Amino acid sequence: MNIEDKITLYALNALDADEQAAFELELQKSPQLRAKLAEERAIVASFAELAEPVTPSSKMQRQLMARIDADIVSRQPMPQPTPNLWANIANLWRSIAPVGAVLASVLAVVMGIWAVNTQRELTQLRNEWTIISQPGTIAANVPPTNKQSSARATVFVTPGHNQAILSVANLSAVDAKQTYQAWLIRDGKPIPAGVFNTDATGSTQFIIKSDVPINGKELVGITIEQAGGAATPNMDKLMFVGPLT
Amino acid sequence: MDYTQFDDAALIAQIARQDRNAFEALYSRHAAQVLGVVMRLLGERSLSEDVAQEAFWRVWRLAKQFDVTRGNARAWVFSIAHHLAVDTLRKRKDGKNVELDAEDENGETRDLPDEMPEVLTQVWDKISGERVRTAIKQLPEAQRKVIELAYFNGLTHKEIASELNEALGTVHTRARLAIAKMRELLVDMGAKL
Repeated sequence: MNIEDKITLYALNALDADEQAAFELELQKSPQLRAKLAEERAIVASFAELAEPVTPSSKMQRQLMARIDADIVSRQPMPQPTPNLWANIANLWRSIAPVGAVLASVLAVVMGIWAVNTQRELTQLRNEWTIISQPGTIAANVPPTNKQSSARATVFVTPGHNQAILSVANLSAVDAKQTYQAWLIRDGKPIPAGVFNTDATGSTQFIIKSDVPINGKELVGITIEQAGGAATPNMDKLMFVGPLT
Repeated sequence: MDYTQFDDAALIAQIARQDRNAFEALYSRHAAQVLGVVMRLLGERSLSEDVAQEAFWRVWRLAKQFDVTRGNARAWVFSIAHHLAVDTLRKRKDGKNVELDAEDENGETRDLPDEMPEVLTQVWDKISGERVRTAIKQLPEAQRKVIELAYFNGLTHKEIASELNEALGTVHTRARLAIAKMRELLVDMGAKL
């Protein structure tokens, strides 16, 4: 087989695996060979026109765009700590703003105690207070996958702790056979973080629990699953995804 | 921004900057044809959609490696999809679990950016699908058969020789002549190669 044959067959994906690997070594060494291959590939690509177009399902597009959205948020730069004292002070001041927002939320929650009649709800509020009153607590807005949606999700988290608060608003109601499920996505792996449902206004606060301390580098996702929750997320029904910081 | 006015290379340049809307425009433009090619190879709709989705995912991830000044963007997209589909087909034939190859830790795959004479890129964008179909139909039957077995059946050159009961050298020659003939037909359509 001469080099011209190899180029053509490689462009057609018609070489054996071993031949393909060997040819790729040749390609790495030769810009001329790569240029020639590119010409062949352009011609080969024209054969695609012989196939009848097939309209992809909406599911395929939704899944793909969910992956794209998750990738976009995962590439957003993380804030870098600085060793400079004054910078630290400045950072402290900047951190006051979200903490202020957190405290305002807490105040609203505490005021709501007047309307709370059950011990269970009181316990929930105590737990939420414990989480968001920690120094260093941050508030992360998690974007909806549908940019047109008015639904909102905010996570209050203190890196190093095993719990966080997820607060949602304007979520659509799901039927009795379904539930919302939260996910912590650590190193690309989704970990179930609990199921929840919303009140009549589409709102609720929910405590996310993690087996290991939350380091702030995780992503948070919210999906709709069958009642009881799922072991793996239904990417078809990915409603929110975003970083914790 | 109206991305429908952008050519493929411009869209990929935008995608390299993580422009979601540009990606959606490229997807809208090519998804049906990409899925058509993949389904011709694999048949099964669900698996084909997985493969097509993976191909577009790689376009998204690898866009920054694509050299828009030298590459044929359309060929690049279809090359990624075709490679993935053929790879999946062969794994299925070998009885292996069909799992799409993971990207390596640098996010790279075998589909490195192509180097393409700029003139061909410019001309290619002006050639309609219908004219390409017409040109392909002008290939001699024996050559077209080799191309079909390779491109749409995912056969290796040895498998094609066996299928056609021809010598390997004959298959190589027909494949090479088919590509050369296509190039010639494209020149007849106005390409200045």
